[in-house]
Amino acid sequence: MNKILVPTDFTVKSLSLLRETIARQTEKVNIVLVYGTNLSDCTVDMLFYTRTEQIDKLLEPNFLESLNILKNKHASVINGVCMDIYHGYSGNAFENYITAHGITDAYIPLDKSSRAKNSRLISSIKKSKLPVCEVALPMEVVYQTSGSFAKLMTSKTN
Amino acid sequence: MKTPNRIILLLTGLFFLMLLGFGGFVYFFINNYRYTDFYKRLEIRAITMAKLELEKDEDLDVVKEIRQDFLEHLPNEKIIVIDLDDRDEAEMVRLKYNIPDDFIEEVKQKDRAFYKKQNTFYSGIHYVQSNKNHVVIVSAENYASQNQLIKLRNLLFISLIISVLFIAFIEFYFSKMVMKPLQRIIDGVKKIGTESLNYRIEESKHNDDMRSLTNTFNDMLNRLETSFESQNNFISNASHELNTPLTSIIGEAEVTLSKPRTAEVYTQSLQTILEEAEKLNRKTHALLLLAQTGYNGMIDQNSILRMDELVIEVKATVTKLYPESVIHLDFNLLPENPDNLKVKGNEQLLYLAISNVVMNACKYSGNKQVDVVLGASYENVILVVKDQGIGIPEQDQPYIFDPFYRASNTMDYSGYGIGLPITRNIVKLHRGRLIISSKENEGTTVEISLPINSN
Repeated sequence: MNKILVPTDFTVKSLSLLRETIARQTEKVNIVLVYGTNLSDCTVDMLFYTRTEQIDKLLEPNFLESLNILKNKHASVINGVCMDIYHGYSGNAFENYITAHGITDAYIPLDKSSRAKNSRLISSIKKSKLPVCEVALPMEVVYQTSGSFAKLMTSKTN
Repeated sequence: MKTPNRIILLLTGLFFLMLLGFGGFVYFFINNYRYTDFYKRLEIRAITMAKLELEKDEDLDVVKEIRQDFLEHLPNEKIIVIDLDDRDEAEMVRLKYNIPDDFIEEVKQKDRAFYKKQNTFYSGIHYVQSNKNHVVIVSAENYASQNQLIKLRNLLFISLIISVLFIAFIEFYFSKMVMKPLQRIIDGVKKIGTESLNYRIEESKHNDDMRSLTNTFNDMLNRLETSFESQNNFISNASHELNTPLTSIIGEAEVTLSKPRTAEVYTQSLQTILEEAEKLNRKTHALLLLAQTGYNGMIDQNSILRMDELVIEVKATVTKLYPESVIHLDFNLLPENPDNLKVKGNEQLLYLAISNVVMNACKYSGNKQVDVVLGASYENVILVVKDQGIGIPEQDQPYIFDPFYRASNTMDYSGYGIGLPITRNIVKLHRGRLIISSKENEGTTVEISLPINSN
């Protein structure tokens, strides 16, 4: 079974990349939603660091429910979705990460603006040996309240 | 009891108990140690005395000297030597000094023993000298350490009281300092009445917790003020809305009745009156519906319906009413399992709510495309209606749910401003959520989420 890496910043809007990704799948797949960020330098922060707590802090309201909309829609294609944070810098670190998680594919957004928040992770993905697919995303409707389902469900038609 | 006093009492009590425990601990062990120490001292004396009294040796002078030089005289010191072989004499000495029998027995058995009577300490040893059994007992009162103990007790007691007072004092100031910003907020809130809802509490600059508290308060005040205003608006809007058709009915009738007219004119004016009366009727009907949906319990909401079917029905109706509108149904996100689209509720009301939203989208977007997207998570069915119409100006957005309120840019469109409040009430009735985001001249997105029927 393929395991696909999809960069995310845990906003509802970022799920439109996942939406496009799953739409292209024909077989059952596993999805890893990854956010690339720096690890805190502070000792105390490191002492009480837990991955789930970090993700909880980043999650936009309605993110999980929006994810469930996609899971519902593609129930027969999605085997499982997990969320993770990636703290690495170097290319080798990323290769290790891929091997450790058994990732086989990656999908990244085509346009620059959608890459901004995850730029380091996306450049690591591009440099790695993974088969990468660049996906054009529909434009965001700016005025919609952040965290609303509409961010995922509607978009500007170009 | 006030919170600061309670804090002071609680903490002081806690400190008092802690210090009391600490002092008691110190006192108890010092007291114990004092006994062992004194018994040891008495034992040394007993051994020295036994040597002096019972041994005939050349070194005796040295021992005597040492005793005189280094062992100071203890208060009430008594040295008793009992010859165990001479029973009668032993009994006599024992009775004279009032020494219990079992103490001597204990000394005989264990070679040494200690014993305390009131404030007098006894230390006895069993001394065997050239096959003669002796018991040497030294007794003395332990005045010095008794005094020390009393001093220690007093010292501990005084320091306990002083530190408790000190702590209570610090706590008093501390709690005053902590409560000060709270008191300021209380004073601020007290100033706010129905007449002065525009007053806001001043934010504290240093204290983050207090700042978030004041912010929450001020936010709540903002909402209160808005709802107060809309209450006031409602009455004026409602009376205005109901008055307009009435005025034209009255005006029309007065003008027609002012002089005799032809049958044609009468028919025409009656027509106008009928039109206006119908308008009035529609408005009062809408108001009645609004009132009915305003509270729970009146409406049966037990039928289970599929949202996609409902949306398709709505589309058909709206297309009939606005033939030129472009409604684009987007069912790309429909779940694979149709059970996730089932909602428990009142079909007519939900139909009304959704058609209100879709009709608004069509009306205010001048036949541009209206997207209707349906999706479902595991908990909610979510319907998003997006148009590219005139939008709602930002300053009007807080009031869009007020009955009869119409945004400032809707002059060219007919309407009463009662559809959205009804929709909101219906969605609330079904424990759903209605979120509207909009920007003037760009469009409006309405998001309705309704909980999925769980069984």
